[in-house]
Amino acid sequence: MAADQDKILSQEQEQLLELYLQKLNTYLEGLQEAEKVQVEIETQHLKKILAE
Amino acid sequence: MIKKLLHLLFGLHGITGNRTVAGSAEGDHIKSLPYIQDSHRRLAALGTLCSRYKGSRHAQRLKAVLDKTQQIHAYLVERKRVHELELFHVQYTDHFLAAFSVIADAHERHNGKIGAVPAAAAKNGTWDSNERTRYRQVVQAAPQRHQQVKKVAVDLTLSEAEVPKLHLPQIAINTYSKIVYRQDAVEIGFTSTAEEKEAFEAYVAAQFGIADITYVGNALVYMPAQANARSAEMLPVIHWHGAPYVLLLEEARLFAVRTYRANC
Repeated sequence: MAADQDKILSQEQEQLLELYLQKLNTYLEGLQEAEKVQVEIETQHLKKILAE
Repeated sequence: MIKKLLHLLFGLHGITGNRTVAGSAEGDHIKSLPYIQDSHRRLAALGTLCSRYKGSRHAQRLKAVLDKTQQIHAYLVERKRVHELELFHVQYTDHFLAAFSVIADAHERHNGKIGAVPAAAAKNGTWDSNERTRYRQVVQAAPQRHQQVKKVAVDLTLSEAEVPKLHLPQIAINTYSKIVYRQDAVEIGFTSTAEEKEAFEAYVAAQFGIADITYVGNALVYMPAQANARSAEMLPVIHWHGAPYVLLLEEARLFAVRTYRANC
């Protein structure tokens, strides 16, 4: 019983929590990735204009 | 031909470029403030949630959720992408808060801490307790406004068992959907532009004969007493005089609902 005292979530809910954390990680990484891509696009765009 | 195509592509690219510039214009700065305040309120709610799980084995993971959300908040605010931040909260944080608050509630009830729940919530000044205070104010104001109703209400307490309990259904704003609201196929959705939202608000104001409304988003709901009541419908949600309502446009009817946002 004492071991269960600190356990609020069921196994499924615990997995859900993990999944949510992963989702947040993916979201933040996605934001950072999108920024890199945008920098790349803008750079290529400027290169093209200057080459014309 | 190819050159034309390239021009077309670059032309389009130019437009998207302009859009970002317009998005960070001066006027948006004022509009973005409520979003940031809302975001802070959600972070505070996450903090409260963390404290409810304190001492459990999940405490560390919940703290991680708070930290990650804080990071995302900081990242988007720093880049002035507050609309994206709001979208993120609507899609993620609100659902998370709702689910894990309910889980904590259930756990506390099971452990016989029924009395402790409201006390703890009130002390921490959580989102829920804010909401409660607001409803309480409404309830307190009601007898003053409707003196004649008071007598009837007292009589009803005698047969308390037969008094139906009213409750507001909680809805979730769907951020992807668009609703066609006029015969000429005008659409409205969470991601519509400010002008499109204003046009919708003006349309609803005229149709319903009410003023000072704000469009919130769309939500999937089952409508009561309708011919096709078996299927859920995507309907617009507005904010009017401090409370959210789902609109049934064809019949010009309002249905009071609640969302997870406290000031909504």
